[in-house]
Amino acid sequence: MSESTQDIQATVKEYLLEAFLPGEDPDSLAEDTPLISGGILDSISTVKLVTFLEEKYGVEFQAHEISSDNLETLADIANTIQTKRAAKG
Amino acid sequence: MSAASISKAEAAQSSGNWTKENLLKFGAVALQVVLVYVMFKAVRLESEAFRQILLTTAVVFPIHHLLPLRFRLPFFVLVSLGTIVSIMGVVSSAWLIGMGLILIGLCHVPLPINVRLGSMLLVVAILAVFRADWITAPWPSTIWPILGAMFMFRMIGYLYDLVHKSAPFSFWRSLAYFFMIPNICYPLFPVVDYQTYCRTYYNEDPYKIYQTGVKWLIRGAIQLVIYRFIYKFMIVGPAEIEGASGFFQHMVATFLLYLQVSGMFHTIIGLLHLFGFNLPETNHHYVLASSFTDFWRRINIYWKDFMMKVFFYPLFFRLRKLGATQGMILATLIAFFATWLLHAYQWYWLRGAFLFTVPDIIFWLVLGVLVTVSVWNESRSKKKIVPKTTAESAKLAAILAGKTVATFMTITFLWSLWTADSVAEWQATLLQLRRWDGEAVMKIVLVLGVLSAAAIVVGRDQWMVGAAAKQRAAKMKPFNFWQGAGTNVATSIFMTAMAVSQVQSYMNPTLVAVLDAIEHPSLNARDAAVLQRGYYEGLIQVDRFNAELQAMYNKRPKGYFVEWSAAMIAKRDDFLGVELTPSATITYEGAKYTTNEWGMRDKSYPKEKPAGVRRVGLIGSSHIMGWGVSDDQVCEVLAEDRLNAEGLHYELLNFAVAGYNSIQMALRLEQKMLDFQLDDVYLFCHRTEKQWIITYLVEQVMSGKEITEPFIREIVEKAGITPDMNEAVVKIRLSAYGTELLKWSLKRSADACRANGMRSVWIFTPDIGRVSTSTRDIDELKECAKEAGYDQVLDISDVFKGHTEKELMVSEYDDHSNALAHSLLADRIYQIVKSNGATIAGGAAAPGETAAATIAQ
Repeated sequence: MSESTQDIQATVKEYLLEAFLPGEDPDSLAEDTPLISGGILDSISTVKLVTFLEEKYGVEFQAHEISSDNLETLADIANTIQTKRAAKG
Repeated sequence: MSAASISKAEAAQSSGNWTKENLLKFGAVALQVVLVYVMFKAVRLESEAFRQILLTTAVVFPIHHLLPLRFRLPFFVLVSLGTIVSIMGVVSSAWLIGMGLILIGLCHVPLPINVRLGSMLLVVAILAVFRADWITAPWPSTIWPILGAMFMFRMIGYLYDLVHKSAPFSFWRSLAYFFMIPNICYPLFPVVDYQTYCRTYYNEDPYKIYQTGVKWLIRGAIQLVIYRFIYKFMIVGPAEIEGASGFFQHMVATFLLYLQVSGMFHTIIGLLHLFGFNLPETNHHYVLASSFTDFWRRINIYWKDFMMKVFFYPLFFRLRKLGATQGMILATLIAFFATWLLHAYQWYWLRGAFLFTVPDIIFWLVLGVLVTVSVWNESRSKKKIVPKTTAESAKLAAILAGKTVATFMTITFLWSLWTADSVAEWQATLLQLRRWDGEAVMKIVLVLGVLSAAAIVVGRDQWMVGAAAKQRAAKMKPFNFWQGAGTNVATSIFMTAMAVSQVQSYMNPTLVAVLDAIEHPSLNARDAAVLQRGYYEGLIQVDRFNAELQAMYNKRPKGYFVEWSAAMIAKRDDFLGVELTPSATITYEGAKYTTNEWGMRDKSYPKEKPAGVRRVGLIGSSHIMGWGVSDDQVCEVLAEDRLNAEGLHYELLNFAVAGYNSIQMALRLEQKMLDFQLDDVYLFCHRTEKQWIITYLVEQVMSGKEITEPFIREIVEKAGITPDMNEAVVKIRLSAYGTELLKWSLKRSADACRANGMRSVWIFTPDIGRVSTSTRDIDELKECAKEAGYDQVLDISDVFKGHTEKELMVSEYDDHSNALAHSLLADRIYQIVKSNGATIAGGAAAPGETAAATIAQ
């Protein structure tokens, strides 16, 4: 059963809070909080996040897709996952 | 550019949205841009060409903003191309733009992508052949650095996005990207990412984007001012390092010279914001990095992003089948290898030769390994510690401070190697670490203490619970335009005011001297010595980390001084080295130079002094010889004419030779001047006298010439110098004996004068445009002269007071005295001669008497 965009956002948010922002108030991470330009995701944590997304949602990322266009906010991430899943059928 | 971003920009300024507030904001930004231009002009920041661009921006900014959004990019392109033409001239810019269009066109020809990439490689290979000068190019060589800066890296990123279709492409976007306005002034340019360039174009409220641009322009200006302060007052050259304190200052100051790059990048990106490009920061508190990966992420962020995009991520995705950690480690190592290679590639396009030096290789190798270890450490999935008590927070803060200090020390230490001419030179400077004293400890404790405090305050998100969330929340708050505008206006007015002479008249003279030095983008004393010595040495390698020296050289015509040197300088086999060719004449760069039969730049004098005449012999370097001015404009000639016009009977004989130092002056005094029955000898010295002595001795040692002076031979032996030693090491070792050598040479001159009944006058002469907060080195020179037994020790530091450097220099690439400066020097020599006449009439002055007070009037 496919998750909704909100569900994906919630799952990713939970992962980000646990992996990179322990102890932080969950409310401080909104759907439009900048993750890359805001310094939450650096190169290593981006790679970890992508690995998590691939495993969790069964999608595959290409190197050129690691960019702010796809991963800047929780909303961007959820949209990217949805697009990839739709393309996969 | 996304539809959302366009709508934000359009919404903020559509005709119906020209609210009073928006009009006020528009006016406020336009005013700030003008103020920033005035500030850059007043403080003389960056090049004249960049200030011209800033002025153009101030003029076109309102037009650009008032245009409908769809016309702005074409307008930006036209302004950019117009600027290129106005700065480079029609011919050069036609070549530059034409070649650029060919390169861009090749990316878009309707052929398979592999054919396009192949064609591009072929064209680049042809250009590389021209760049190497294997075939003479039909275009001017001046376009190479700019063509390189525009295309060498940006084309790689552009092709990457083209291949992956990861950004929109259009004619105007491409031209705007490659020919972006400030690039024409900067061979070293941030590697702006094409995808980011498109994505961030008017992606927010335009006034916020503009305001950020102004803020970064000001931030860049502040960094450039600090850079100049460090360059002028803090830099310690390898040969001048004394003890651990000197080494620490050397490594920290050398690292901080990067402020120039960081300031320049802020300025460039700030300017682009004024045209709607909301690009990210280029550097971020890199001094406060707490690990090597952190350092890599903070310094030159655009470069890091470029390497991540083009190398690291593609490599990682290929290698991760080996395991995520192994993939990351291997990708990091290869990315660093590529970084080193690309630096050499960059050097090739900018300078025409690959840069392969041992310090460069070691630097990138060590940094690569350190970052890789750091990546490995971070990649292990250990959880961040969340402090629960104050004690835990304090512990985390202390750890952060410790890591920051350790990273800073390691990076600056590595940087000192990277900037060294050779590993041998660096090793020689390390020997100074054996000498520790209270000053070294104080300096280190102070710098590292400030660094720790800054790390704890700025990095509080890492140890204070909730601080990170607070910081993010603050960033997400609505943008306060007026607060930012107020800060920008106040800062730019303050910085401009600091450069205004009327304001400076109320300040402490030392502060004024510092500000004056910062405003004048001239060389520091160390580099000036290198530049002046270089005259007859032919080609000098310009230090790649020394932008000031490089800029000075770049302005200078090719082969400057060579023709003059061939006609006027005669080499000698003995320890004197060189002298002026007798009875020679040449007109060079508009100035006529003539020497008499004795090899003096002067009219002919018989050896025997005529009756009733008082003879003064002047000895010095190029300044007194009159490099850059004609025979009749030399200070000695002007002073002599003035004295004799008053009916006095004086003969002033000019024995100065370009490049001479105190040792050579002493030798010339003994070998030549004594024959002329002189009554007085005036010996002119400069601030860099010790450096000149050392450079001269290094040349003698390296040339294998026999050192005939027993004292100098003894010093060379004491310094442990052997014939096979590296030049830089010889220099560092001899530098330890600089004061001894200076004292010896001055004493030798003074003794020769005394033994031959001549009155000796030692005169400290300032260099144009070089101010220092400290007179310690001048005081040391004067002390040495007094100790040597000169009859008079004079200081004419204020001889050029009231005149700007530009008014006094021979040209923008030569800071020797011009005709005006010589007339000022002549006035002072005239006063000294007359004052000496009076002193002699009233009885001889005591040895070492300082008559500066009377002469300075």
